[in-house]
Amino acid sequence: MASKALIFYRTLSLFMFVLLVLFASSSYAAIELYDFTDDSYQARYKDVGGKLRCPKCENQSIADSNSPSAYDMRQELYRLLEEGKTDSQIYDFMVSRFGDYVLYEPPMRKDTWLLWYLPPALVVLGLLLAFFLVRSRSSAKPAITLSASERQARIQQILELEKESS
Amino acid sequence: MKRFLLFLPLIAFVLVGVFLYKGLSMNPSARESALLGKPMPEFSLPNLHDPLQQITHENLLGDVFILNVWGSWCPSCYDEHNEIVRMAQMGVPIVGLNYKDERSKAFRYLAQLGNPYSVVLFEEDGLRELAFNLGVYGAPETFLFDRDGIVRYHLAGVITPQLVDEVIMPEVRKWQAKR
Repeated sequence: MASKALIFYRTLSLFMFVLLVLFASSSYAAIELYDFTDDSYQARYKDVGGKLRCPKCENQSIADSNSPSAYDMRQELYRLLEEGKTDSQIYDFMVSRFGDYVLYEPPMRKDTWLLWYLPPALVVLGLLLAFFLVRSRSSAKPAITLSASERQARIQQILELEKESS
Repeated sequence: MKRFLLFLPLIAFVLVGVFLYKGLSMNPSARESALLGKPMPEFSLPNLHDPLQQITHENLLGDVFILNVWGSWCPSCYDEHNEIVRMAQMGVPIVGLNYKDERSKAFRYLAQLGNPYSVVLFEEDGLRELAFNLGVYGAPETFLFDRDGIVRYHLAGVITPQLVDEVIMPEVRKWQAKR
């Protein structure tokens, strides 16, 4: 009986292994072969491809997307790298065709400064607010100042209370 | 002052709420073409109906015209075809750009729906001669060029009757009236 179960589990695990092997790589979006003439191009291809946004699919980089437009952009990216273009030349090339939209990192310009500076400004504002709130709260109970005679009277009062209780 | 500070979170919440609510109704794929105000890119592509005839940007310049990017594989192109025909009937020269398509399928498409195009450029799949340089990322897309070949209007998406009457034709007339 036990051996039957063993065979069953063996077969099942083999079957699952085959499934895994068959479908494991299908989640990779773009499988293309590029022959780079310079080793550094490959790293830059990955880097720039990950920072360019696919025009057809809002939330994917051209490296991740299967869409034909992303494929075209990868082909052009490869061509530009092989032509010896710099990263910024490649970004300019893409932006001149597809607009700022294709940059995951928006450029610093007059009309984008809000985008860049608002979040840190809000953090600073929040910290300042927290700081002043905490400080005003700790100084909220003003120390009672007593004159020498008042102090003496108070001490006397406390001492009498002590006596009574003991 | 103290009172006011108490309302600060509510005010912040309302502001963020309005901002995000507006974002809900925005179309993330609607954006201005980077080519607006820029000249037509140089190109040389074969005529769909005459593979031996090469057409370049110079052949197209001189008149206000519309460039419509389409393909037989594109469902929305079928939807807007009637509007292309209607604009052609109103006397607007319309250049077709057959995009990532096959000749035989393109012929079948035109035979079935009619051919409103003054000329159809054929850009084979894998060729990045014109559409890529125009920033085309799908079909249909429509461009309006003025007499000097400057891009004056761009639409990524389906042309509707309303768009033709209220936006595209007025733009065409406006640029035709210049000089």
